[in-house]
Amino acid sequence: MYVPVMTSCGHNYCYECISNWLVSNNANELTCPQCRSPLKEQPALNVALQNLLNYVLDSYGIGSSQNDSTRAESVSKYRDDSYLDRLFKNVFNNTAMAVVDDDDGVARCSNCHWEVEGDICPHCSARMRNRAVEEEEFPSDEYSEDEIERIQYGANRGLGVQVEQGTEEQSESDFESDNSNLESQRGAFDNASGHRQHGRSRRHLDGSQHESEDLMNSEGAMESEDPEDSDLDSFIVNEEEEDEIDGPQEEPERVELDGSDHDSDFYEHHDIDGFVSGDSLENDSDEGHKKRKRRIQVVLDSDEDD
Amino acid sequence: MASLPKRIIKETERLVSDPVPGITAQPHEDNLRYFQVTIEGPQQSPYENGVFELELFLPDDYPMEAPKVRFLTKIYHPNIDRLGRICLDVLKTNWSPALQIRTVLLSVQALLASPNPNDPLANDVAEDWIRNEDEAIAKAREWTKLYAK
Repeated sequence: MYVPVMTSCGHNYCYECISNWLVSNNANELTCPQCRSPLKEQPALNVALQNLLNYVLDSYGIGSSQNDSTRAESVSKYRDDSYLDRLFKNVFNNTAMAVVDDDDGVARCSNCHWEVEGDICPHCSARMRNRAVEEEEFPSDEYSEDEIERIQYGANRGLGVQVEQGTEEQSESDFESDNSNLESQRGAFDNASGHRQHGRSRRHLDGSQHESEDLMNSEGAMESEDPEDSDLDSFIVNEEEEDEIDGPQEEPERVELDGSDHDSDFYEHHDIDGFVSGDSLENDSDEGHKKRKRRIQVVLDSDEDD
Repeated sequence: MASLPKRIIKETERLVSDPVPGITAQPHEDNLRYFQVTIEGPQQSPYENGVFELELFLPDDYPMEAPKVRFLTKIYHPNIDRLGRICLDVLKTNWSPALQIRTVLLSVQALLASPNPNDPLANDVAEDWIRNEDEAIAKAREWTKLYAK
C-alpha cells in the first residue's frame, strides 16, 4: 500500500484497490468494504499514514528496486488522477447524492436538482450513491437498536413497562403509526395513573431546548460522551465478528445518519403532551434529573448533526 | 499458469497453517483457485456430527467478486437447494473484498446452525420447515446421518 486513502468512516485502503472495488461494486450504493457504511464522500489521501508507511519502507529496507518503482508508479498515478480530476475512476464524478428536501420530503439529485425516484436520476442519469427511499422507509426494520434503547430509556423511567412494549413494537412498524401508537399507549396510561405521568411531563418541560443550550458547556457536554462510547463499543465488537453475516454491522452508522430528525420529532410529541397535562412536580427527584440530562443530551446530538 | 495474486497465496497459506476449527480447505493441485472444502455440522444443530463436502472457486475478479461455493454433499436445508447452491447474502449482494475464504466458510457454517426458512432457496424444504419444524429437523438429522459420512 503506497497510496493510502481514508474513507469517511475511518477505514484506510490502497488507492488502486478501493478504486477497483468501487467500480466493480454494482450494488445500489457504494459501501466501505470493512464496515459497509455508505460512502457518501470521496475518500481522501491519508498523508499521515503515507508518511508512516514510507518511513517504515525506507528505514527497514523493504523497498527493493522493484518495489520502489511500483511505489513511484502508484504515487504518480494518484497524482495524475488527482490533477486530471478523475480520481477513483470517476466513480464519484459520475454519481450523485439523493438529497431529501425537508420542506416537501422529495428526494432530489445533487447534480441537477431533478426529482429522483430509484437509483438513477431521470434527468442527468447519474447513479445515486445513497438510497433516498431509505429516508422514508427508514424506521421499519432498520430502526437502529441504539435509537430504540435511547427512546426506551427515556420512556421507561416515567411510564414503566407499558410503554416499553410500545417502543418494541416500534421497531416493527412504520414510524408515523409508531408515534400515534406510542401516544395512544401514553394516553391509556394517563388515564390509568395520571399522577406519575404528570410529574414526568413536567420534567419534560424543564428539559426543553432552551435550557439545553445553557447547559451545553457544562454537564450536558460531559454526559454526551456516553452514547458515543457505547456506539464505539458495539462497532468494535461487530468488526471482530466480521465473519458473522452482516446485520448489525450497518447499524452504528445509521444512528448518526438518521438519529437527529426523528429523535427530536419524537420528543416534540412528548413536549406537546407535557403542555397539556403537566402540573405536578412531586416525583421530580434524582431520577428526574438524570432523565432530564438524558433528554438534553439527545437534543444536543441533534443540534450537532444539524 | 497465470500468476496467482498475492492475496490468494497468503490466504491459502493461512488456511493451511492456521485452519479454522471444524473447517478444512485444500487447494486443488492443478488449479490453485479451486478448493476442496469440508465443514463439520455445528454442535446442537440438526447437522451435528456430519461432515459436509463443498467446492469453492475463486473467480478471476476475486476479491472484487465473491467466491463461488457449492455443497457437494446432499443436505436438507431451506437455504441450500438440491444442486448444493447456497442462498447466503455474503456470497451475493453483500460481498465485500474485506471478507476472505475463511470468513465465507464460517458464514456457511453459521448458516447450518441457523436455517432461515423465511428466505428460502429450496422452497419445498422451507415449506416443510415452516409447517412442521420438528419433523423437518428430524429429516435434516436423518439426511446428515445418511449422506454426511
